[in-house]
Amino acid sequence: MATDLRLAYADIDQELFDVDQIPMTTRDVRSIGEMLFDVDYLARQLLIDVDGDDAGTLLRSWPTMVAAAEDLWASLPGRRPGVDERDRPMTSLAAQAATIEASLTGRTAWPGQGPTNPRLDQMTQTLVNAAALVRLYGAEIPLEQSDAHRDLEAARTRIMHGLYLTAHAVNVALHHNGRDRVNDARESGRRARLAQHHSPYAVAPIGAWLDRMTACENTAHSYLSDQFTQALAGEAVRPVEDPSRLFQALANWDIQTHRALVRQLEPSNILLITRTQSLIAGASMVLVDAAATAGILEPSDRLVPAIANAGYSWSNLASRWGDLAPPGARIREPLARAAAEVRAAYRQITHDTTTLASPEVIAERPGLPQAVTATLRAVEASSELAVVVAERADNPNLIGPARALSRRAHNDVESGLATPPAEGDVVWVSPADILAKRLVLLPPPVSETLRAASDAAIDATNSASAAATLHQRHHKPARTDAVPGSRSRAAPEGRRPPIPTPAAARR
Amino acid sequence: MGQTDLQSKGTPVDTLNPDSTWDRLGSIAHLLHQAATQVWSDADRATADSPLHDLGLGVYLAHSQASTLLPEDYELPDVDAERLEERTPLQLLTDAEELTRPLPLHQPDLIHGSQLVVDLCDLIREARGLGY
Repeated sequence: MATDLRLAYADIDQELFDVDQIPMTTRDVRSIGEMLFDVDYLARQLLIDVDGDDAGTLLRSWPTMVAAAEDLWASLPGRRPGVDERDRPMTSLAAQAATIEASLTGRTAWPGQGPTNPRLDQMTQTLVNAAALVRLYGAEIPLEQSDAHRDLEAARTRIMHGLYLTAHAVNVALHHNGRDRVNDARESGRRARLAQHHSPYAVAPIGAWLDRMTACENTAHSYLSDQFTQALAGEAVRPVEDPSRLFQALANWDIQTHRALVRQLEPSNILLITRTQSLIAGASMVLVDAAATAGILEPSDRLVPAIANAGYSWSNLASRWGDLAPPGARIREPLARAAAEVRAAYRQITHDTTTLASPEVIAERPGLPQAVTATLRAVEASSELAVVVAERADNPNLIGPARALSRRAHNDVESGLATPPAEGDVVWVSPADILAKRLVLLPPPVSETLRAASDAAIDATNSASAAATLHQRHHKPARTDAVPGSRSRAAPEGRRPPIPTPAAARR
Repeated sequence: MGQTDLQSKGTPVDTLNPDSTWDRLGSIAHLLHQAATQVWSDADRATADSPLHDLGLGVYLAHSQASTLLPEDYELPDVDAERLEERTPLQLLTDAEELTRPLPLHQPDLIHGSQLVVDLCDLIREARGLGY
């Protein structure tokens, strides 16, 4: 056998992860586990670094990567004869990728013919190598042992996990690419026609590819979240282009916060509630600004400052509840899900994938009128929620981490927010408690300022609520009566919150 | 191919014992909690409509995801809070992502681990975009 002087992977470790250079080796000495680990690593790096310029190369490389993954999947020993339910997601994904491949072949329109993506090519080659290794030595695996079964299951999960991350990265790249096209058109004075579904940046020719890649991502995700059966029945993934999404998200948030606040609630949940309210205020400002730009809402010199003040007061209150919420504290799952959906629904209209869009861009987005109506109603409702949250601050048994509370007590006294003690300098939390990282009762200054911050939130949200109510009288609301779960926000004007009163008088 | 055994060399597919898996997730929860606190602290000094509020909530929800993967009776490992405070939100997010790499995502208890990984990578990209 002729001597080949090219290096093996083990000899050039540093270059193993260099995406720009696939080392030429005589042999791949990695184990299957290492190879799948490398695919995972590369997929993560891709997802972190991806931008719009990558969209074309990624799309061209995707079908080949899926084919390599399917081949590795098929090579794994222990397959049952006939149709195995366990294999169906991989089969579906391969079919979806094959149709993408067919559409790309000979295509002159975007993305056309051109280079492929080095990172995806490296992942593909790794999957090919892994399949070859399994075919060589797979017969030696003792299938009767449970450890071997677990390893094979782990391998399948790793394969699908790599595909899921990659499909998501391709989708992110497509969104970015669409945004770049819209921005380029605007800069050159051309009118950009925004898309009516998915995201406003699903412009031609991106939209069709987004549909197809979203289907791939959903298929991989459904396998990993054990929801493939529901996905097949069309139940696992709701359409993101639903124009009532923000209405539904805010209506569900309203329900979940009230359900949660009926019970004894840990500070970590109240932190989530107050921070989400802060987000709602901030996003409302953005939408109101965009709606004024679009001419669907009268500009107001009162509404936006009132909402901003409400946002500040929610943030201030949240930072104080944050002192009481330890790391790792569990959040009620329905509440966390509802908050995540509120965030996602706002981002769909206010963000360019991961950054805030300009008011001019948001103004052109379909669904803006409905979103403005939904968000103003949420602002309106927030005053009542502030009262309910404030009641939680009246609990004398509240506890929190000693260190954070000691710091907060000293800061509040020093800044004049809390009443200074008559006896002069006071140690509010014992050093022993801080050292032992104990949970302690709230020191008096912290209780005092927590209540004060709650009262301030009530006052600020009352003002914002009144301003939102007034503004809705001048703004013809988008039709919302078909929105499931929408509470009585459409109540007659006479039943809406009256003129705000000082919080102290209400509590 | 220089390999004669699917498991004989390098990173095995499944070798983490439960304790180290939970400790790893516990550390991730610590890191994400600190990252959320720091992002929100920056957000509170910015305008009410700053995108930092959104990023902070995203990080806190990821913290919630990691915490949900932990057993109910699990107690978080002790960490040096002051050392965590010295790190930037981007460093904390990156540390958390690195800790997820060896997680045995195929285990039923970690069925939503892939979603956590995707969310962390998205948050890192977003944090970079916001100047962290």
